[in-house]
Amino acid sequence: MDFSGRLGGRYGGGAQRDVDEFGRERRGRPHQRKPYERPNRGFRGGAHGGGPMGQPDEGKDIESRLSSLIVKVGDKNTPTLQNNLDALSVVLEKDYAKHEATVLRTFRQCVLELPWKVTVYATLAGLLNAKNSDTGAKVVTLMHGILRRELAAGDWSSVKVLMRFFALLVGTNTISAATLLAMLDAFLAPVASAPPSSQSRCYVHIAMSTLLWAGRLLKEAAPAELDARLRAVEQYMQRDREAMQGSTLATIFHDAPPKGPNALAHQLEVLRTVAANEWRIDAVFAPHEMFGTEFVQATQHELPALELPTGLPPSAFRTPPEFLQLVPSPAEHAVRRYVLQDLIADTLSQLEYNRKDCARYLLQIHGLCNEDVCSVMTTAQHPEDADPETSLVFEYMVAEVLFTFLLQLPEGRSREMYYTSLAIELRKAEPQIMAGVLETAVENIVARAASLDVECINRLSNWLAVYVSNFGFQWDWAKWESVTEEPEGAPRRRFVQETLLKLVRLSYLDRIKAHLPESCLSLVPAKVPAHNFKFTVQAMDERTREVSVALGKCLKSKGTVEQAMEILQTHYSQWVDVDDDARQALAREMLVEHVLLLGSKTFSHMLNAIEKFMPALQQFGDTPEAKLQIARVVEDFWLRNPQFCAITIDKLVNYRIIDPVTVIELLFDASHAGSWSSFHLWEILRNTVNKVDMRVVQLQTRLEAARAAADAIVVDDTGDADGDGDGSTDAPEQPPSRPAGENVEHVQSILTQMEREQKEVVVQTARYFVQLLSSDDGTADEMDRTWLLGRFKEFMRTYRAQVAANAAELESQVFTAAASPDTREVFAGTRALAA
Amino acid sequence: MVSEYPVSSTLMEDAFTIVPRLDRPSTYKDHQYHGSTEQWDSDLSKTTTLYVGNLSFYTTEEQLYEIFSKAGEIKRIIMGLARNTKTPCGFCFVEYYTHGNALECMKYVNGTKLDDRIIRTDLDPGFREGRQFGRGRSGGQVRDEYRQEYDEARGGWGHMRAKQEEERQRQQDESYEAIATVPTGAELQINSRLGPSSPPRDSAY
Repeated sequence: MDFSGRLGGRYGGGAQRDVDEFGRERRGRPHQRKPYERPNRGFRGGAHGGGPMGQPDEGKDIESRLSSLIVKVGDKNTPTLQNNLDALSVVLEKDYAKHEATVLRTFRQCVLELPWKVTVYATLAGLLNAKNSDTGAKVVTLMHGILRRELAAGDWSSVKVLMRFFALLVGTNTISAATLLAMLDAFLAPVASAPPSSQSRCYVHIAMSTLLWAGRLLKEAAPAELDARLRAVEQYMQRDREAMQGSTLATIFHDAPPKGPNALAHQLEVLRTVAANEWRIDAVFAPHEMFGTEFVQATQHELPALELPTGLPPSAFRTPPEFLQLVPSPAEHAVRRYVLQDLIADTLSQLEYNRKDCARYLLQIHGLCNEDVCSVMTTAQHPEDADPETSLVFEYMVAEVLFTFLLQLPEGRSREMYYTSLAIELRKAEPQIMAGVLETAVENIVARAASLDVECINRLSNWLAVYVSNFGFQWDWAKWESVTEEPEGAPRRRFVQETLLKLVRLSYLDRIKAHLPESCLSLVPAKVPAHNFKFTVQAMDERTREVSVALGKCLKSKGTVEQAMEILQTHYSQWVDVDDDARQALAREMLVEHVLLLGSKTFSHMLNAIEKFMPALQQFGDTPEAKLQIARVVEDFWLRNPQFCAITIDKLVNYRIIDPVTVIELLFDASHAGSWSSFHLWEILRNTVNKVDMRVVQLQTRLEAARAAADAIVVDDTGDADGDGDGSTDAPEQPPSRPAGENVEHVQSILTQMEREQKEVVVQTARYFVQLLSSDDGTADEMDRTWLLGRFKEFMRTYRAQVAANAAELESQVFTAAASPDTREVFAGTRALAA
Repeated sequence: MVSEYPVSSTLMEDAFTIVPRLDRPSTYKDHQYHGSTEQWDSDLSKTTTLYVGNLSFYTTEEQLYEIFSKAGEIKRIIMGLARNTKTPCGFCFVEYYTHGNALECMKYVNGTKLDDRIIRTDLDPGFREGRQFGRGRSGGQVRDEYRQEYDEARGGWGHMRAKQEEERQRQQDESYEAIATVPTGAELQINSRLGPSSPPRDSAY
């Protein structure tokens, strides 16, 4: 048998593990190990093998070999694959009884973790079933159980992958066409009459994916039923199209309008093309077609009905985005491209918990492609000859999927950082090829920046800064030097400039300057980010100077809060020419400036300074106006250091010195008109709204815990309750788990209060956006307005759940006839998206 | 028919994966942790704190904030300091608000670069006063005590090696101190046919 995959050498048999790179025995030299080596790292397919400690016993050894055979089979579409599969099924059949758990467990994970090899594993399951229907039944039952588990958990990516596996099982005669149709109907039944919603879209997506792979088999076995399912899908799509009519709220590129607001329209198009072509999918090797005679005699297994989860919120359902086209691609291969990118996307989702191995696997997916389906730069002798215009180029397809996920709206499946560090691993795995591929992809996106959604520009900028900082800060900035001639707010210029600012944050100014060509130096600040302390000696009158010097001395020599307050009191009480309010405002400003100066060295210093002066700051921030003044002083103090500004504001909200609404008021100040293209304002908005949401979620958890504790009437006096009752002043520092026996009514009342605050934040933010967008002086020019509108869309779709929850109020108070038509359109789009 | 083959619950629930998860604890352990291995494991299973190592001494808190906030909102960062000098010595603790964020950090940030160095993160049971200081004999981290390689971003040589180098330097300095005048070299004429002072090769002729 030939199981040498591309990773074979690196990951291969156990023998290599105990020898270092010089061939010396590694065992017995524990000091040779790296200090924090991961146990079992890099041992593909065998958490069961003997570890470095002690000899593996024979049974374990066989088990690890068995599982490694299952993992590796079909890595490559070689002429011997058919024989390999046959041989493996014989081996498994023979050893199954002895090693049942290992075989089943490995098989289960192969289907889930290596989704591009689904044809291989369906065939293997078919062969096992053909040889012994008891074994087949066990495999099928297990996988069906896992499918139900993933359904209950709402893991739609796994559900889709498993449904594809079951679709192919029909072709191996392991389950009947009728069984599969019943499974499909579980997804299509709730969709039949329901209004378009994220839940329906998710189910239709899974149904279409299953139909794509089952079509050929169903066409033979149950053509009428197949047509009926196809019609059901088309009918839903018709309604969905009407409901989402004209909505561009989740559109990534506005220059090439996608075929619909999500991936479904394109998916349906692919399905129709495939149906018109005898349901033939020729992108990947289909080994089950070679074992026709063996499957004829096999036993088909019945399966219980599937149950869909109930009570999940709309946000729990996801539909993947339509794959972006970033390089030209031959139109006649659209189906192959879709099929391969779909498998790439599933792999990328399923292996999210190990980006390093995911990157390596992603780059070998082409191994199972049929001949001439795509060109592969990493294995080609002349990779530079690969031309995406005439043939599908594998690496570009991977990059397109990656950026599709990164830019997915309203939000990606995983954190942005996953797609960043995955790209870093892809480049580390194939430095020459992937560096060029990713660079081309980024440049092609940036070239279209003018029509790219604002939030996506921001995401790509974050991505690029971290990516570049991982490769010695090398990037060909000169290619973008023409942006220096564009106006400040031009999308491409903004992108480059903000990326450079992010790079300065990740490193330091001089380092970044050293990598910039002369022509681009104007894009970074001339001076190192610093604070902007107001009371420097030159510009103030004598008595102000006296207060400032006295207070400065006091703080520097670690004076107490009381001492500082006393200084302010003594000095300002002599200012008889100004009224009380003005004096209070002056004292407030003086204190805040000095506290900020005290903490200006690092974040730790800042936290210490704020914590120390918290009582004074809270006393000074006694009214909404006072809070706003504090926030304004912070903004002014950190004018030239947006990162510090954002974090200081954030901490003041944490310590409840200012309120979330204070921040909203600060951000939408009229003085910011003309700077709506700056990224850091929106970073602050996002942080603030997220924090409010987080507080609500934490309180909900606390309430549940309190209710559970109240229900279980167990008197358990642990004695370490910290006696902190007043949750209204809680920074989110408090852990969500509380000592048992917390008062339910008390938590409930705080929660109600927090929910009121959450509502206020959402309504207030929307109100400000609409006011600015509906008036002429809210924005400086057309470009400024485009940015603001983009940020408005971002806000609405990100917090669509809260928008939907407060829709009535928003409609009557904010999105009135006075609101500009495009803002009302966004509101309508948000409601459709939130369903 | 199916009901004859009930699936064992272990097969439905065990956490085995072919591809190892990056958000699982490594062999990292705090040697001064007071508690059993079980306690350690249970602490890690809900911790919000990460130990971060292999930092440059010059990496600032602000840079750490920038990269670690990619995995979630940060509650605080505690810089590791050399015991004697109170200057950064190449490690820190990052505390998030949720355990999930700490795991995401393990998955996405661990092993990426900051200041051109690969940062290493490990789940940690949580910061306790005193842990911010290096535990090496010289005040820095233990790993810098024995390091044999020169590492500019971590103070040059390891402490022991630095002492050796210092000693070498001292001996070197001492040995040369005595030599006040620069030796002119032997004036012996090797080839008498060239005369007392041979002209520079590339001139004259």
